[in-house]
Amino acid sequence: MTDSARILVIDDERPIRRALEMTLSRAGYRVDVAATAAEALTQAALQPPDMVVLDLMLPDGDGAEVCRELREWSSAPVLLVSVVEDEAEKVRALDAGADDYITKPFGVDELLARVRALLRRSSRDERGASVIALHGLTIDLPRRRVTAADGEVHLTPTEFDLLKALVVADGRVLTHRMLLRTVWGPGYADESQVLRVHTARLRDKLEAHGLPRDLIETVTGVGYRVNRGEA
Amino acid sequence: MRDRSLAAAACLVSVAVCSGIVALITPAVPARATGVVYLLGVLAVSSLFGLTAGLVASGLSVVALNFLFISPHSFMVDRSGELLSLLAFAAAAAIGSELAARVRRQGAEATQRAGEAELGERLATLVAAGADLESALPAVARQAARALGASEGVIHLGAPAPASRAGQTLTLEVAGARVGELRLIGCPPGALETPAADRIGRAVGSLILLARERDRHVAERVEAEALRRSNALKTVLLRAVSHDLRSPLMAIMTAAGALALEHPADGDAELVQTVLDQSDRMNRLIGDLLDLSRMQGGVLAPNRDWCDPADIVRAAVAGLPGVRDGGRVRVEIAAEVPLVRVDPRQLERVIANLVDNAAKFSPAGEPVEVAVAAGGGVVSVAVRDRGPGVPEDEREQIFEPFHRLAGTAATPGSGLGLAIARGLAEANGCRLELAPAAGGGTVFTLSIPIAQTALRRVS
Repeated sequence: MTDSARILVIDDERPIRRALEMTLSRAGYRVDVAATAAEALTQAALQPPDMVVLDLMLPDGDGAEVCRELREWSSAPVLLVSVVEDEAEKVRALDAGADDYITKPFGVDELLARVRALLRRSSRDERGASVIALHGLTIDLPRRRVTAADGEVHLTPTEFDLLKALVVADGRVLTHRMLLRTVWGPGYADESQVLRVHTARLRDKLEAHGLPRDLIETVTGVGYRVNRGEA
Repeated sequence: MRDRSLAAAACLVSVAVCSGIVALITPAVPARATGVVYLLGVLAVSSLFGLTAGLVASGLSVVALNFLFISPHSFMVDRSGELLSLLAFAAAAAIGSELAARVRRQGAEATQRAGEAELGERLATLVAAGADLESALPAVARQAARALGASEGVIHLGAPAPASRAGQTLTLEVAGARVGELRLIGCPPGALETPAADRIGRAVGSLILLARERDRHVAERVEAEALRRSNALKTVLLRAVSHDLRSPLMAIMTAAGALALEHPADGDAELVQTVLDQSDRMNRLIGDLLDLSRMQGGVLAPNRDWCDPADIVRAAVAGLPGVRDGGRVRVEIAAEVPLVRVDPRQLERVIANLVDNAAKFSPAGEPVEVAVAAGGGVVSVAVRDRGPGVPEDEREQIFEPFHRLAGTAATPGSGLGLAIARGLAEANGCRLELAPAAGGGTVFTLSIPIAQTALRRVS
């Protein structure tokens, strides 16, 4: 099913673009390539991709801008390719709608694992689901109830909202700003202290019900995501 | 001398002119009333040439009036009327000269003040124009000398200069503190004992202090700007180097990875794996070297945020698959650990390097223990290995780049891990030390200061 997915690779360096193209084709995907932001947006409009692999630093615009423009009409998952030094840029691109990132240079296994996870997630589309099951945890969104194998997990309204945001994102990285805005409101975007404290409490409670602590995975310096144990 | 003869001439001329006028008007005006004409002459002389000239003019006027117009023509002043005239003329001379002198004094003072104001303005302009103190001093000295009526002036800063050759010296003081002195050539005697000289001395002194202060600020700013530019340059350079080194590596790794996907023949698979492993190793080395240069170039700006130390420790361990999956790391986190304000990625790197180092030097099968606790104003992260320990004289050297303990040459690694850990820890205001562990091995302790405003994490 996923082997016929169409992937758009955007990278300004030819050797890397070419290597990515061949790797992904050999793995069974259909691959389009673009060298610049402008070319990428045109290409994406001509052949709507199922997924985008985007180099963060392009000669004619930054990755965050491409994400924002792409997100206006496409929900295809975006995997960012960045170097360690581009931390701030990366967070901006994630805020702008990118789904995940991978740090250069990376192994092919890692790349393919991320691609598979993102494609699986976008095909699963649980946006309509009201009850989500995860690691033996059942999260009933309308009733705001969380049940583990050994009984109900009692969460405060804030903790529930935090868990809900992460679970609905379905493994996508949510930046600190995104979580603070979603759960606490726009005025709290910089209150990282509050987020840290509540995340720690939420993990404590889940752990007390026998769930792994890394069910909510820390993406250091970026944010959190739910660990579906797939990637 | 010239002034005195000029005054004498003025007396004579004035009396002669008055006599002429009186002679012209006498037929029409009673002789006795003509005295007022002489009075005007006396006033004019006394106001222009002072009291003495006025008194002389008074005497001459009375004599001339008496002799020329009042009969009998005589030089004698023998009548009470003439005595009264003389007294009135003398009084007029006194009043006229005093008033005139007062006006002249005020005028001179005003000129003096205007001169000082102008001096102040010029001095201020010199400072404001941005000239540095050294090059502005000669101009300042010249202006001050002119304001004091001297022909030449030189300013000496600091302690008194050895005995002066010639001229007078004005000490430049501000609030009792000596700034320097103004050496004056061709200064009128007594000019330095006036309040004006005091004012000028203080003004010049303050100006010098001000200029000195300004010069210091300018120097500091220039230095800070140079440092900022140099850091910005280093950052750009390191970024470019990082990009230029990693891009080819990235292409190599991706291409080799694509080859591996094709299920190559046995021998080829091994070759491809070698390319991948060595690329990976080179990548880590590049990362370490870049971090080290950033550290030594002073461009490791921590991006501080509130972090949960437990979170950082777990993420660090999770990021070391080889160590984590071997089940060799035991993490123990105290019940109540406050949040800390550090760069989470840099701290994660510190802890990952420590754990990686501990795993490398522990005998196979021995666990690495990581303990997180709070106390004494810090959150401490202790990483303990069961290795052979570090000799006492090497406990500091071990943090030097490329330093390796004797007998560990076979252990893989760049020799940069601990140097980077220490550098990153210090950049974040943390301490990193090592001590022998009870029961063998070594314990590295990272102490992270607790911010005053940290919220408590309540379990």
